[in-house]
Amino acid sequence: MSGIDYALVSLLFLIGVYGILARPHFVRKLMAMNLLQVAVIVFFILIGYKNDATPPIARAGDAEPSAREYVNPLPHTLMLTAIVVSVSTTGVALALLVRIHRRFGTLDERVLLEKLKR
Amino acid sequence: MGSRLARLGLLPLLGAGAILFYAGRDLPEVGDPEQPAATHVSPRYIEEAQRETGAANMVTAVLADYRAYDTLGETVVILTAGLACLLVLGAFGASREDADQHFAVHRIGSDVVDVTARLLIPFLFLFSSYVVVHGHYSPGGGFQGGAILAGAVILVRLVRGRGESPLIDSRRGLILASLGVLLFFAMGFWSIPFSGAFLDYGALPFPLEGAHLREIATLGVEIGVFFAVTAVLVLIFESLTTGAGE
Repeated sequence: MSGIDYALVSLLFLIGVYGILARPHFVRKLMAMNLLQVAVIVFFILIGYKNDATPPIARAGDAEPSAREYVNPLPHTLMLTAIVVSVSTTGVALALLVRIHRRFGTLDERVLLEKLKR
Repeated sequence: MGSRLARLGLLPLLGAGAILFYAGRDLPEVGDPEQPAATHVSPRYIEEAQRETGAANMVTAVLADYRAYDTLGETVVILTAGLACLLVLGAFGASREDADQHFAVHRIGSDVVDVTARLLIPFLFLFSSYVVVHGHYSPGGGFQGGAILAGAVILVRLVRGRGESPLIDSRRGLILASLGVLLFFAMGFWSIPFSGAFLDYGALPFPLEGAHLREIATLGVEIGVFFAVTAVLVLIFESLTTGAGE
């Protein structure tokens, strides 16, 4: 049943969104964002898969690759970009968190809002 | 306020989840070779990649040749992220003296870790170069090799402390990353006088023809990406861990 794969990916995605919305600690929000990005990446890779196909590297001596035998390379390329963007976002987010911690001494959203009100 | 809003936020989340689950049942079967994603655009890339670009790795062919413009944007994104990290964490400007004084990452100081790292690190350096150069024939390329090399440099710093590998500090790391992006842009602009198109590897003035020329040009582009990714990843690590002593 194919629906189960996409359902699991959707579940991962929803867990990520829930984590960003509901958890007050910033590092957990960041980890949830990462989880969200991973869910999207896995979804695209799933789309590219073909039964009984090998990774998209032409085998030695295969001068005329047939599209049936190789997995779709386009989602993989797209997802390389997505992974790089994910790493960049995580890096900058961590830098911001370090600054917040240095300035306010806390990484909890509720405590931070209290401090900002005063 | 936080937790009540969070509980309220659960409702549209469950609604979105229901829509996702329901829509997932309409998507084509996983692995179906006749699905639209596998029959419209990708067969052309699979069948022509090796003949046109000289790369057996179709993902590298698409990434560094057919869709090189996209990869250029991606490399600029990672450079910007490194720059943003440095700026946010005050590596430049008035607080620079403080940043340099704080000892970044105390060494782990364990003999077992030290010896294991000494065994690993030369291989990591070699392996990263191998991965970059073999991006055409096996899984690999600039991004992968850059991540491995950055991992090796970070491992050195974790095990031995900051002073031990001053090769990539803030200034030199930025210069290296910028050189990588510059190399990529240069490969693109170089072909404009010859054929009027940006990133047209086939028009570069080397004494090579067709697929071979494009293969060498994509290797040059991958090396640029390699420098940029390595430098930025080490920069991000450096800027995050400076001041850990406070």
